[in-house]
Order: sequence, then structure tokens, then C-alpha cells
Amino acid sequence: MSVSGGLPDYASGSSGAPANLGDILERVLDKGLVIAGDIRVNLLDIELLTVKLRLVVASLETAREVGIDWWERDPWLKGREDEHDRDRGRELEAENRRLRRRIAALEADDRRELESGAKDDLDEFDEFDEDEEPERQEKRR
Amino acid sequence: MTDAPDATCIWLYAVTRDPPDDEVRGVAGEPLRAIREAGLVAYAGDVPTSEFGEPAVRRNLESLDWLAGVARAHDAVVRAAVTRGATIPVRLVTLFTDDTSVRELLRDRASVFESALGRLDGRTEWGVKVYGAKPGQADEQAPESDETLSSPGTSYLLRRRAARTERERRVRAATEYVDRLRARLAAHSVAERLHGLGGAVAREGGGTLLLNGAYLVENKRFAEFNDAVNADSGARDLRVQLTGPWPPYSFAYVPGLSDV
Repeated sequence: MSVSGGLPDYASGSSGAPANLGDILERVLDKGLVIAGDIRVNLLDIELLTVKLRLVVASLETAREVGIDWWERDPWLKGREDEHDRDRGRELEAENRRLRRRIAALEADDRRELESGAKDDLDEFDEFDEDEEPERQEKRR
Repeated sequence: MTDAPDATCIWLYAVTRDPPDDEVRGVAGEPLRAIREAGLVAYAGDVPTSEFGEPAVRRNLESLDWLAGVARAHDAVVRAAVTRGATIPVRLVTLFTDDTSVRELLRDRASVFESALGRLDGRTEWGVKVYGAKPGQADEQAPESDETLSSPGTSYLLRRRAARTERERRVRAATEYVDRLRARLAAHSVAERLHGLGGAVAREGGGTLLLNGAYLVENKRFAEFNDAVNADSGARDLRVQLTGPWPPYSFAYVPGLSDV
């Protein structure tokens, strides 16, 4: 970790740890001289980007190593080559909808049962254990 | 600005006093140009408006792949500039329509740029990070409680309490370590700028980021600075990392210029 001739070795970056993407992005996006050019790109947009980067990129490489991959589902970080994952996402959504419908149907059946024959059974429960069956009581009323 | 398909705009990389190396290429793979005025040199590249102009650039910034490539290329140009002399790095996505406005900028603000370059002469930015213990590590190393006298429940609670006390001790020790480190670094650097810690999410190597500082260091005093980074081995579960050399991104602030 020595510097020869008083001038650090920029070419190889051998003095400190190699620059990772998070460090570079933090500097080029958030630091550096701000000059208002002719073509104005909203600085606020860039700052929001930086905030997001701070939260995400610094931990990207390591997080992947330990198996954390929540950003894999973040469209902003996904980039372009994610047709497959998007399809998979749609499949999951569809499955989710199917399951919700099924649950709704089952609950409706349950209610119909309660309203008809099963009423007598429930009265027995109520006698000794009111607290533990508040849901059933509500449905019955 | 999206008139002709081959239209270009000017991407600004840095302001310095010396012209760029012929071999360096910019964010679009373009050769670099020197726009000169008032003894200053702006590193500039002609980049296609279709990719780097408004609104294309805004859309492209949303893609991490694109951003990563452009950031690395921008950084490479700024690094090349630094090897030739004092350099003020310009923030990513600084765009101009023509040379005239870049020249105007250099002329109007020449004295400010000169004083900034003077401040950066012979100095280099270094990054120092301190990482805390890895998650789970603190609990594993909590002292064993005396298990002979207590029931499983009591001993569990005792272990929990011991672990909490141990964690508090570690936090205090880490804070003190960082304070001592910053004091040493201050003694061997010209300026300090603290970067974001990114909350609890900014972890690397499994440890929480406790310090993320940038230091402007005299090149001829780097050895002392480096010693100061490593001088204190007092905290065994902390990890100190030196990054750099960096172009002086964190010290490129020029008073009165950012609000142009």
C-alpha cells in the first residue's frame, strides 16, 4: 500500500482497495462539480437516483453473495433482459388471483353452511367457550 | 434537440489546465476534445443526442446497466485527467449544446476554477470506510452465563441480557474507535467530507457501515495518512478499508459556481 514518487498510481488503483461500482456511482453522481449545462437534466432526478443507489448499490455485490436478492424484483434494477422474469411475475400474479377467488368461494360456502344446518352445533360451543370463537359468533349473527 | 439522427451534444468530464491524452475515450467511445479558454481546459466529448441528450438520457439513467457503463467511462476519463495534473471532476450528465457556451463558462468563472485547481494541486482524495461486526457475530460471542444455577428459562433470559449488554459495549467501542480514527485522519489530511452511510442497508462484507469518509491528502504526506488509517488495532471486530486513489470528486465544490 505504498505510493511511489509522491504521486498515487491511478492507472492500476493498486494503492487502496479496487474501486467498486457503488463507490464510483456515489462519487460521479453525487459528488463532482455541479455546472448547469445548456441541456438541463433535472438535478432532483439525479439526486433521487443517488438516494436509491445509496440504499441499493453499495450492498449489491455482497448481498448477492449471501443470497439476498430482493432487488431482482425491482424493475429499476432489472435492466432490459428480464422477459423471462416478467413472465414469471405475471404467472405468479395470475396464480394469486386464482387462489383469492378460491378462498372467496370457500368462505361463501362456509357462510351458507353456518346459516343453515350447522347452527345447533355452534350453540354448544358458545356455552363454555365464548372468547375462543368470536369469529363464528359474528358470522352467526 | 432530437432533430437530426446524427446530432451530437457535448458531454463535460472535467476542468483542468492540461489537454487530454489522445488515447482516452469517453462515455460514447468518442475521442476527447480540449475546449480551451482563459488558460483552462475542459475535457469534452461529442456524444449522440439520441442517447445522451434530453429526454433520452433521463430514460437511460433508469437502467442500471447503462448507468454503470457510463459511470465507469466517465470516471476513467477523469482519472486520465488527474494523471496529467490538478483536475476538477464534473458531475455525471453535464451537457452543453456547443463549444461557445463551454468557453463562456470557463471565461466567466476562470478565477474560481483557478483557485479550486490550486487547492487540489498535489493532493489526492482517499476513501476510508469502517465496517462493524457482521450480523449474528455479536450474539455468538456473547459471554456464557452460569448455567449450573438456573432453570432453562432463566438461563435463556440471562443469555439474552448478556448479549444485549455486549452489543451495547460494542456500539460504544465502535463509536469511540471511529472518533479516534477521524481525529488521526484529520491531522494528516487537508479536508474531510463524510459520505452517506446508506442507513442499515449499506452493508458490505456483511458488516454495517460505520464511517464512509473522503479525505483530501497531500501526496507527499500519504505515507503518514496511510499509517494513521492502520494505527489503531484496538477494535478487533471492526474492519477499516482504504479506497483510492480517487480523483477529487468529493472536493470539487467550487463556491458560487454550483448555483449558476
